[in-house]
Amino acid sequence: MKKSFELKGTLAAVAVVALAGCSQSEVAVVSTGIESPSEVGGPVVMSRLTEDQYRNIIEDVFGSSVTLGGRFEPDNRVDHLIRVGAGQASVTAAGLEQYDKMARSLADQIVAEENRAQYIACAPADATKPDSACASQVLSRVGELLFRRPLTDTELNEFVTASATATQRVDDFYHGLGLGLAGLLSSPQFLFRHEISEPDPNNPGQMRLDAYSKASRLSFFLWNTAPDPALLAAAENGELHTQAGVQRQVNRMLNSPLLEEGVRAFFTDMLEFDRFDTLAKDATIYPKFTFAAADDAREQTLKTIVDHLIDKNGDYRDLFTTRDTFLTPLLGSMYRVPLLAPDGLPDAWVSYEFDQDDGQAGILTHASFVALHSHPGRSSPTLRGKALREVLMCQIVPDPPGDVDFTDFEDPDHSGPTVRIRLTAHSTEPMCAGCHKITDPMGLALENFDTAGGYRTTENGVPIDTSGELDGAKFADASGLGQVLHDSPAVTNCLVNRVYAYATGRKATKAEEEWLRSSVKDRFAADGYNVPQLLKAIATSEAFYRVVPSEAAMASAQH
Amino acid sequence: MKVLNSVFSKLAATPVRYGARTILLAAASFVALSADGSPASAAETRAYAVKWFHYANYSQDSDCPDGLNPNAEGLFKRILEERGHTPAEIEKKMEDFPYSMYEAGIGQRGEIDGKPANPYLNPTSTKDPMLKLGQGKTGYGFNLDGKVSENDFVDPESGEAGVDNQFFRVVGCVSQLRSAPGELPTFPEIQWDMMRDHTPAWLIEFSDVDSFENDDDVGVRVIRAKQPIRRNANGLPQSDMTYAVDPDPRMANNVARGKIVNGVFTSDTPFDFFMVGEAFGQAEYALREARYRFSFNEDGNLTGIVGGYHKWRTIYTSWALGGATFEINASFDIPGLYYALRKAADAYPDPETGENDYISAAYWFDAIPAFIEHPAAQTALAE
Amino acid sequence: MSTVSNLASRRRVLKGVMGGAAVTVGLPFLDCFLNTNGTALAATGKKLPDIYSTWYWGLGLNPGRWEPPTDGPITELGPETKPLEQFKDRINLYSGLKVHLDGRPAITHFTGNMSVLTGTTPRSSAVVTPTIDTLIADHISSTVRYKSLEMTSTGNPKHMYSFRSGGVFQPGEADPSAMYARLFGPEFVDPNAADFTPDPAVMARQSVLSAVRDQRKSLEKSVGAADRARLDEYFTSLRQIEQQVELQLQKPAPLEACTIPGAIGEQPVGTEVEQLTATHKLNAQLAAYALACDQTRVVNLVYNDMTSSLRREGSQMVHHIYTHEEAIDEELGYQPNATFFVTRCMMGLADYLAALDSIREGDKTLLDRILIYGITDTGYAKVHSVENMPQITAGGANGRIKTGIHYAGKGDPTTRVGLTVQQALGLPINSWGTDSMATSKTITEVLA
Repeated sequence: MKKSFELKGTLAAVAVVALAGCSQSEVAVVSTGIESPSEVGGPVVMSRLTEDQYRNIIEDVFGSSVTLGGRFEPDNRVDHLIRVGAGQASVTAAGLEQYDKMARSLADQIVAEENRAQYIACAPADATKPDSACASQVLSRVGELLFRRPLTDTELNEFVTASATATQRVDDFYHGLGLGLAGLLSSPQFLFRHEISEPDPNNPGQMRLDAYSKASRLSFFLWNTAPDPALLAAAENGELHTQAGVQRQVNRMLNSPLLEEGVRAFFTDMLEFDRFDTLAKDATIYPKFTFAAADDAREQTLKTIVDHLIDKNGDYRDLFTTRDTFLTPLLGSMYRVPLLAPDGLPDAWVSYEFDQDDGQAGILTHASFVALHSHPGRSSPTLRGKALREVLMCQIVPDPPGDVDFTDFEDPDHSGPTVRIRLTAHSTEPMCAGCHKITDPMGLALENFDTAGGYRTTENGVPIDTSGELDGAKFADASGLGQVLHDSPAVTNCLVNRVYAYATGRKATKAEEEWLRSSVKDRFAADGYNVPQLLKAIATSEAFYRVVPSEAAMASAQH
Repeated sequence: MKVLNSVFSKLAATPVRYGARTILLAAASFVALSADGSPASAAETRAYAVKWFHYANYSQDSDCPDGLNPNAEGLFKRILEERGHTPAEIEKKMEDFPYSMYEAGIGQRGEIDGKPANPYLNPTSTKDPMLKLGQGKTGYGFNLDGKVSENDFVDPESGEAGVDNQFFRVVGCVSQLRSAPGELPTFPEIQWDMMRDHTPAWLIEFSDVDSFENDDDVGVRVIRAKQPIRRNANGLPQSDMTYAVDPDPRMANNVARGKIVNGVFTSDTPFDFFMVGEAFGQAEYALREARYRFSFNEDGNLTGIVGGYHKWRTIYTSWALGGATFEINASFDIPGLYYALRKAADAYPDPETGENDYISAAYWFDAIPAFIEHPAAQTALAE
Repeated sequence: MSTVSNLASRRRVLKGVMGGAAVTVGLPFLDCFLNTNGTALAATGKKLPDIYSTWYWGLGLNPGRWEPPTDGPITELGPETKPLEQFKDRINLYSGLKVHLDGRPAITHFTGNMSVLTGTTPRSSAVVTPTIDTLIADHISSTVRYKSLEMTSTGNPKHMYSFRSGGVFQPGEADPSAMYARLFGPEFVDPNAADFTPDPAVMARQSVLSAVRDQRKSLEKSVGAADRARLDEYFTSLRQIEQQVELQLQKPAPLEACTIPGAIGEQPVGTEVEQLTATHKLNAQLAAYALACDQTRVVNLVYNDMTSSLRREGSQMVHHIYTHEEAIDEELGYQPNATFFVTRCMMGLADYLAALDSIREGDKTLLDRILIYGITDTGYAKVHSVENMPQITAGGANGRIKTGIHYAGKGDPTTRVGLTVQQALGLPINSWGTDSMATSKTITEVLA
C-alpha cells in the first residue's frame, strides 16, 4: 500500500500522482475554510527528524529493500509531545556518528553493483573517474527529495565537487557518488526541517511560510513523511499559495491510504507509545507480558483508533466507550477471552467486540494504556490517573513536593489487600490529598486491569471497588469513567490542542489558543468530532501557514 | 511493519462475537450442545492446556536402598571391564569421556552367533545387567487389578492401597527418569519441552459441571489441539490461550465420566486412553483399563494422573531409538531397561510365551487454564 | 557428567533471563576479557593523559550509615560503603554537603541530580546545562576519537545525565555489544599495530564532510538565534566526526596498556538487579579498555537511574517505591529492602573500580590515573532530602588527588567537590556554581 516514489531518473520530475491501493471513503470536500484572524499564527520551528520520519523518508525515496543499520538518538518529549521536543533537539556527537554510519551504509547499498541499475539512471563515462554530469543528475534528484526542496546551485556544486574529489582518492566513481549521497543524508538540511518565511504578497505586512515549507509542514502533519513529488510540484508551481490549491492537496492527502500513517504517528506520540520500547514487566508475576504481547498491545490500540476514526469516520469521544477493537490470540489470552484467529494463524488480527459486562472503556482499558502506566510488578492508580489527566485531558498534575516525610502517617503493615486501601493516606492526608485526588480516583476505576492488562475482579481475595468521581461526575466502574471522559469538554479540547501542537511543532501562541478554543473547537463539534475533518480544518486554515514571529525572534532580528 | 499491519486489518475476518469474559463460561458456543442446538442445562464447561506430562513419580531416597543405577560413566566402565580392559586402560579411556564411549562402539556391544550385534534392537544379545528397581511403597496410580499385592503401592493422594504402577519401579532408580513429587523427571522433561513449540498441545476439558467442589456426574476428556502451546515470558506455556480441537479420531476416545468430591475428580468406568507422543520421549501413550484423577487447585491450575496398562515394548522402542546418544547423555542402560521392563511387566500374558506384554503405569498432568473453540458442527460429548 | 541435564537447567535459566524474546546468548563475560600485559610506560616516559569518569547511582544512601565514623583518614567504612572495603584507601567520601535551594522548588530527584551535576539549582523542571563532565571533556578530551562515552546499565538510553546545552542530551549506550562495536569495530585504529597505512576510502570521506561543514554560514543566516545555537551544536558534532576521520588517518602512539578485548555478544538488558549488575560490569570493562586505548578521556557511566527502577525478579516493588513505602525496621533502624539496593549500588561501584584497577600501566593501574566522581540524586531517599548528599571520588587522578579521606562538610554546597574535581584535572577555574551554590573553597585536604 505504501507507494514509494523511487529515485530512478526515468521518473519525470512531476511524478505520478495516483496512488494505488485501497482507499477509504472520500473525505467530503467541505469547502468553507476556517476563519483565522490575522494575529493567529506563530513562529517557524526548526525540528529534527524523528526516527519514524527518517525511516519513512528513506523508504519513500529508496524503497523498502534497503536496510537501515545504526541507532537513532532518543527523541525527547516536551510539552507532552515528541514532536515538540523535536523542535528543540539538536544532534550530539554520538548521534551524528550514528547518522553518518547509517548514511554510509545506505549509500553503499545504493551504489552496490547489483543494485545500482535500480537507483541510478545514468552511467559515468569512465567508472574510475569523476563524471559531473551523472553525479549532478543523481545528487540533484535525491537531494530534492531529501532536502524537501531543490538544491541551490551552490549546494549542488559543493556536493558534486566533493564526490569528484572522493572519486579521485579511490578511483571509483560509484564510491565517490555514494559518499556524496551519504553527505546529503548527514546534512542539516536533511536532518532538520527548516521552515523559511517570506513576506506574504496577499497580506502586506504579514509573513507566510514559503511554498516548500508549506509542503513540508503539510506532509509531515498528515503523512509523517517528506513531501512526495506531487506535493513538491504543487509547491514549485505556486499552487500551495492558493486556497484552492491547498484544499486540493489536503483532500488528496486525506483520501490517501497514507493518512493512516499520519494518524498512527500522531496517536503514537500523544499516547506516549514510544515508552513501549523500554517497558518491562516482572516476568515472574506477569509472565504473559512478553515483548510480543507489548507489541500487540500497542498495535491493538492503534488499529482501533485507525478503524474508528478513519475507516468508520467515527466520533473521537467514542474511543473512550467503544467495545469494538482488534485482538490477536495472544491478546485474547491477556484479556482472558477466548479467541482463535481464522485458519489458526497464530498472530493474525481478528476484529472483536467485548461484551457489555466486560468492563471495557475503549482505549482506557486497553492493555496499552493500563500497562504503560503501571509499575513492573503491580498496577498504579496514581500513574494511570496522572496519565489520564495529562495525556488525555491536557491538565497539569503538580510534582510531588520535596521533603515529603511519610513517617507521620505510615502504616507499618503496608499490606492492605487492595491498592485502594493501601492508598488511603493519599486521599486522607491533607498534604497528599490535594494532588492525589486529582489522579487516584480515575486510576482506581481501572483497577480491574492489572499491570499487564489482565482483567481481575478481586485483589488478594477482596473485591475491587472501582467507583469514583471525576470533577464532580460520578462513575461506578471503568465503563462509567469512559462515559465521563466521553462527555468531558476537556477531552475534546485537549485533542484539538495536541493536534495543533503536533502540526506546528510548538506550543500554541495566545492568539492561536483563543482561536483553537473557539473556531476550531466549534468546527470539530459541528463535524461530529470527526478527526480527519479536524485535520483538514487545521491544514486548510490560513493560521497554519501564517508566520507570526515570536517576541524573541523579533528582538534578535534587530541585531 | 506498519504497512503489513494495515494489510492485516483489511483482511480481518468477519467479526467474531464471543461470549463473556469469565473462564467459567456458560456461553452457548462453548457448552456441549444437545441435539437441537440449545445449550445443555446450567452446567459449566472448563478447559485446560497441558503444561507438563510425564511419569507420575513419587521418588524418595529410601526407594533405592542399594543406590541408584550406574550413570553413563558407570555403564562405560562396566562395559570396558567386561571386555577385559585393565584398570589402567580404563582410566585412560575415561579421560576422554564421553567421546571415548562413542569410539568404543558401545552401540555394537551385543553378540549374536559370535558376531557383534546392536544391543538396542537386540537387547537380549547382551547380558542382563540386573538394573535396580525402585523399592518404595508409596506411588501414584490406581488399583487396576482390584487386588492388594506385595508389589503394589499406596497412593499418597487418594490413600488407595493395591495401586499398580510397576513402571514406576522400573524408572525408580534411574537418575534421569525418577523424580520427587513436585519435580520434573529430567529426561522426560527435556523431551516434552524440546518438541512442544511445534507439536500440538494437549487439552483437558470438563463438562456438565455444576460444582467444582462436589458433583455426582461430570464428563472429562483429554484431546489434542491443532495448535502448539505458546510460551510466556518464562518460557512456560501461556495460560488462557484458545485452541481448536484436532478431530483425529484416534484421540477422540479419552473420554470418561466420574465424580468430583472435595475438589477432586475421579473417573468411574475404565476406558482406553490413547495420545500420540513423539518419537524420542514416548511415541504413543496407550493405556488399557485407564482411569483419571484430577484436582482443581486453588491457583486455578489442574493437576492429576491417568493410570492403566501400557504395552511395555512400545515404551522400550522409544528409548531404543535413542541408542548410544541416550546411553551417553541420559545415563540409560538401554538393554538393561529392556530386561527391567520385561521383569516388571504385570499384565496381559502372551498366550504363547506366558510373559506379560503390559506393564501398569501412571502419568502425571500439570495443566493451566485455556479456552477451547468448538466448531459449530461439533457433536455433544460422548456420554 | 550429564550434559543433557546441564543443558536443560541452563536453558531454563536463559529463558527466564531473556523474557521470552529470541536473543542470542553472549559469551560468559568473564571469559572474553583478556588480562593485559604489564610492561613499562610508553617509551617517551611521558605521563599518560588525565582521564575522568562520572559514575552515577540513584537514590543516595542512608544518613548515619554511609559516612565513615571519623573524619579525616578512613580507618573504617560505614556499613553502607562496606562493599568498597578493598578500595577504601583509594576513594574519598564527602559527607555533610548539601544542595542550597534558595527558595527554588525541591523537585524530587531532579533538583538533587541537576544541582550536583551543574552547580546550579534548577528553577523549574527544565534541564540545566552544562553538566560538569562536559566542562571536563572540553578541557581534557578534545583531541581523541571520542570526546566522551556515555553508557547506561538500565537498558534505557534516556538514563543518562550529560547535558551540553538545551537541546543536546547525550544518550547513554544501553547495549554493551553495540558499544563494543562502536569502540573496537572496523574503525578502530590499534595503537600497537605493527604497520599502518592510511586508508584511501577513509581519506575520501573528508571531502564530503567538509562540503557539509561549508554549509554552515548560509544555513545559519536563515534561522533565528535559538535555532542558530542548535545548528552550532550540530556543527560541533560534525567537527567531532571530522576529527575522528583525521585520527583514523594517523598512526597513534603505541600504548602498552591497550589490548583489544574479545567481542561481546548481545545481552539481555533491563532493570532487574542481577541483569543490571551484569550489564554494568560489561560497561565497566568496556570503559576500562576504551580508556586504556585512549579512545576517550571522559566516561559517563550510569549504574541505576535517577529515581531508580532497580527491582528484583518476582517482587512487586521497585527500589524507588521501597524508599517511600517501606517501614523503618524497629530493630535495624533502617528500611531493609531499600537498603538492599543501596548495598548493590555500592557493590556496583566496587565492580567499576576493580575493572579499572585490573589494567596495569607500568607499576600503576588505570585506577591510579583516573578521577572518578560518584554522584547521586538524593541524600536520604525516603524524604527526597538534598541535605547530606553523598559524594564519592575514586582514583588517584594521576597523582593529583590524595585518597583514603573522609571529608565531613558542614552544610557547604556540594559544588565544593565539583570545584575540587575540576581543579584537580587542571581546569583553570577559581570558583564554580551559581547563587548560593557558588563556591571558591577547594577541598584542599584532598588535593595533593
